Amino acid sequence: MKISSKAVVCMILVLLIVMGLIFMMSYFKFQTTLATLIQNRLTVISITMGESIESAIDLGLGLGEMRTAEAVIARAKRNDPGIASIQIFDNNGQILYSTQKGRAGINVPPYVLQALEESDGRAWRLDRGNSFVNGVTLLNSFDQMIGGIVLTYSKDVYNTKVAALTNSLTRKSILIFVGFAILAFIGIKLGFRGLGRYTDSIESSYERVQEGGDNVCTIDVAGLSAAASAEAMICKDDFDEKLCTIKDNLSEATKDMHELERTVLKTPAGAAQPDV
Amino acid sequence: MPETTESNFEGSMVRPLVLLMTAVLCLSSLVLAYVTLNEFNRLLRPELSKKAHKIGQIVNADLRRALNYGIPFNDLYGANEYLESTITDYDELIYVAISDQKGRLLYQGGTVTETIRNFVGRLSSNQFVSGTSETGAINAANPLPATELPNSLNYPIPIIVDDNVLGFVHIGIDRHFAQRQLKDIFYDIVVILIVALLVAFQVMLALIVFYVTGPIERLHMLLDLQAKGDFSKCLITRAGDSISKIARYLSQGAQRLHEHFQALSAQLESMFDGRAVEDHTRISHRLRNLGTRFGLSNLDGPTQLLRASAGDIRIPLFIFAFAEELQKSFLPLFVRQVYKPVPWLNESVVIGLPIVMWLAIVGLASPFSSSLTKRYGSRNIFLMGLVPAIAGFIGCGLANTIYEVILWRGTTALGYAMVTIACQEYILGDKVGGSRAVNLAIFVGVIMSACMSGVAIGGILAARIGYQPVFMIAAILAIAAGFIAYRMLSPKIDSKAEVGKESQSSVTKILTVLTNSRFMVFLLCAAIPSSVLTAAFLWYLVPLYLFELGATPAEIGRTMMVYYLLIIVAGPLAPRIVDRFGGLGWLVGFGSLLSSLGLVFFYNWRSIWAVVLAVVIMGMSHAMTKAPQIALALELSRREIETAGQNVVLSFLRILERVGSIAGLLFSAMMVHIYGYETTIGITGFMVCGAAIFFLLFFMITRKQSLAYAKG
Repeated sequence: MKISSKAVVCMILVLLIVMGLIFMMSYFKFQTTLATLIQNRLTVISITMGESIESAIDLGLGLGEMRTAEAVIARAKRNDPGIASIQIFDNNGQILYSTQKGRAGINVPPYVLQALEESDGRAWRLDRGNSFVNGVTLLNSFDQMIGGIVLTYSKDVYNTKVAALTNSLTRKSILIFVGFAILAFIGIKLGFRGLGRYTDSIESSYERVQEGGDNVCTIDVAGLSAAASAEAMICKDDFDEKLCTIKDNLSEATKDMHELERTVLKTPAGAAQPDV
Repeated sequence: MPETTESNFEGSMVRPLVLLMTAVLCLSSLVLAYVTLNEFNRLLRPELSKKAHKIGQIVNADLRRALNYGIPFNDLYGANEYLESTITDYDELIYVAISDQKGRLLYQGGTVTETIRNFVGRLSSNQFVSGTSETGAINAANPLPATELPNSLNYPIPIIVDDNVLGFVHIGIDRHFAQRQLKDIFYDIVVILIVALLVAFQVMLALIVFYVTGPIERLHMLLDLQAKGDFSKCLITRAGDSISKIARYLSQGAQRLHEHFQALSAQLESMFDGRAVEDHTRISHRLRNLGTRFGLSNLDGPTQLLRASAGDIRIPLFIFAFAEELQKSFLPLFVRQVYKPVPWLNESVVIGLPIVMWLAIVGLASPFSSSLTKRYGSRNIFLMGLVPAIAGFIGCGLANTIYEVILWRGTTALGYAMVTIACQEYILGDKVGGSRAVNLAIFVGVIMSACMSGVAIGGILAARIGYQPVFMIAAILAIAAGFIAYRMLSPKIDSKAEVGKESQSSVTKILTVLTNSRFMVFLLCAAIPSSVLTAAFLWYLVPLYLFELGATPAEIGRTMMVYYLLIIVAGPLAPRIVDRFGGLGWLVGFGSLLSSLGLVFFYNWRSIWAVVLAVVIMGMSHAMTKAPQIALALELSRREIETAGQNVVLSFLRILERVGSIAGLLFSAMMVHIYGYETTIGITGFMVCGAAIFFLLFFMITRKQSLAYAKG
């Protein structure tokens, strides 16, 4: 592989890594932003429901005696199709009202009670893999906890949007990458043109000097930058002279060896000579 | 890129490439950021709209409740405060306003500009002028579409009481919300670009040296040798480029000459069996002369012309050091995550133990790695060092307890010592081009670039994928470094043996250094405090304190990156200011004093910016004093160097610096446990400051002695 091709590969690799990292950061940022937006909205819904129920409690009703509770959670679910279920539970975790039939009377999952216990504020939130779970603590007029509301939101919409971003951004990133990779390729090929001419001219000069003849060495440093051409280690006069000297040295060494053979061993001249 | 160690040829080849790389990377990142912004806007707006409606509905419901109690619409007490509190709850809201039928703004929370006011007035009037049929269709659940205003998106939600539209609740969502979200990753993108350019610079320079200037230099050397009639060397190359072809032609010529010479020798040897002894001697003498004259005496043919370059270590060392540095911005945070109470040690000390272990093992393993490298060669020790390093990374990636983290960090430290020492010995080898000083500058430059890049990228990655996966990435990078080292490092490069006085034992040699009071003051009051600041403050206190102040791992990485960036950028300026300070002693003393001032001045200012400023001041002063410190150490111990050798003095300096770092770190950890971060930072700063003042006073008092010493 030529040096220019290696430089192209390196540049493309660096470009790929940079774009990959930016892509990755954008992807994670989108996930976080969207999840925060959705969960904030769910918190708004939970708190509104909580306030509505607490105002009824303030009137003296027990949590299990509210006729409007079912209607409140049903309306909230109706207004947002992404909501999978809403449940109101008491202090022991027993579900009192639910948008899912047959759930009343059974207990909420343990992670809900755990989140409720660990939360600093009134509202809390969880990311359960395939759903967002939001909730609020229900307090009576003495600020004592009497239960809570838990809202489960399916991640389908969220996943669809993340997939949409991934697909669209991947396609566009590939296009941008290919475009700039081509630009880098052209730039490097142009940038290495001078160096290529320089090394090729060294090779052709070598071949011409070997074939014989004077003033055939033409090393091209014109394509190099001023600093590079000044520092080029192999230059015209020097190279020409050295190659001729090497040629002479080789002939001399070969001649001496033949002479030694001839004089001592009486070997006739013109015996097999190495092709140097 | 400021690196003075490359030649004009290499520099002029690399500069356009780095410029091209800068343009390509910056432009592609800009285009990708623009595309991402559009995607964010497209996909987040519906969600923002839903949220605006939800907030609008809540405000609407509260308002209607108040109106149902009979409170007049334009006389709602506390409405502005209520709207203001709504704004503060939601980051994406700019304003919430309520207007009446005539479009008059009655209540508002947030920033309502004149443009918004005009729009509100126009909207309400228009709706009521255009007739009831239109208003009849709108309700709270089916509001008017959003309108784009200069800085906001206005969502008007009608207030309907008894089928009459009394007015509108206007929810103003920040139009640049998506842009604001992307701003959070803007700094990360900048960091990635800086790192990418550094990587590109290192890679391109290594490529040019490895594939262009290196082969040309070797060809040049072969041409010189053969032109002088020496055919003892050859170049082994399989590449198809022009330079390699000529190298092959010349090498083949030498090879054939050798074969001819060997054949002749064998032939003469076999045919002289029955001849006179004097003939044999005479012919052998002529043959020997011929072999000596043309460099043909070696029975195995021409030997390989070895000419390595310090550039060979660039890529493998950079990748390895980068992998190792990935953890630096979050290691104390990761340790705290796996921490479980140890009965006889407090938490702060336990958190510092992996760093202590790392420093101790690197200190202990370095001399041992050096002798191993001399015996087995740099490339082999580099590759052997990767085994414990990779095992350490994987071990940390899977660790669940503090003991495992300490064990695996120690293992990584062993690998780190072996790899870095192997590289150091490689560049100091006999057959490596360039001067020792230049090659060492390349080594330090590569390590510093890797530190800067690794710390920053490690923080960015940890903030997104967690701490332990970053260790796994480090392991993968270390494997890649191994492959590249195998390809790029020459296996037959030996390092120079130190020319020292071997007559004295090591203990005596060290004792001679200990009796030099000026050297000891320098060591205890400048060199060790400088190392303590790096280990205790930068590596330990900065990550923990910044995290406590609410910084993310990415922000911690960026802050730590500044230190290394300043060392890289301002380091080359140090030699220029030595003269202005009137000598190394003053520069080192004032630099040491300055490095602690950031800690002294800002320790009480509980802010991320205070830490950033302290790191900047420390980075600047260390950039100015790190290299002069070594020069001063050599100057102060000139007599000891004559007897003990330079390496003994420098090794002694390094060992005591490490011991000081460990002691300083443990002391800081104990202080954190007792006094907290701010006070510990202050105490560290004051102690370094005090040591620097003592150093300066001592050097002022012993100035005459110093001058006599310099003359003598």
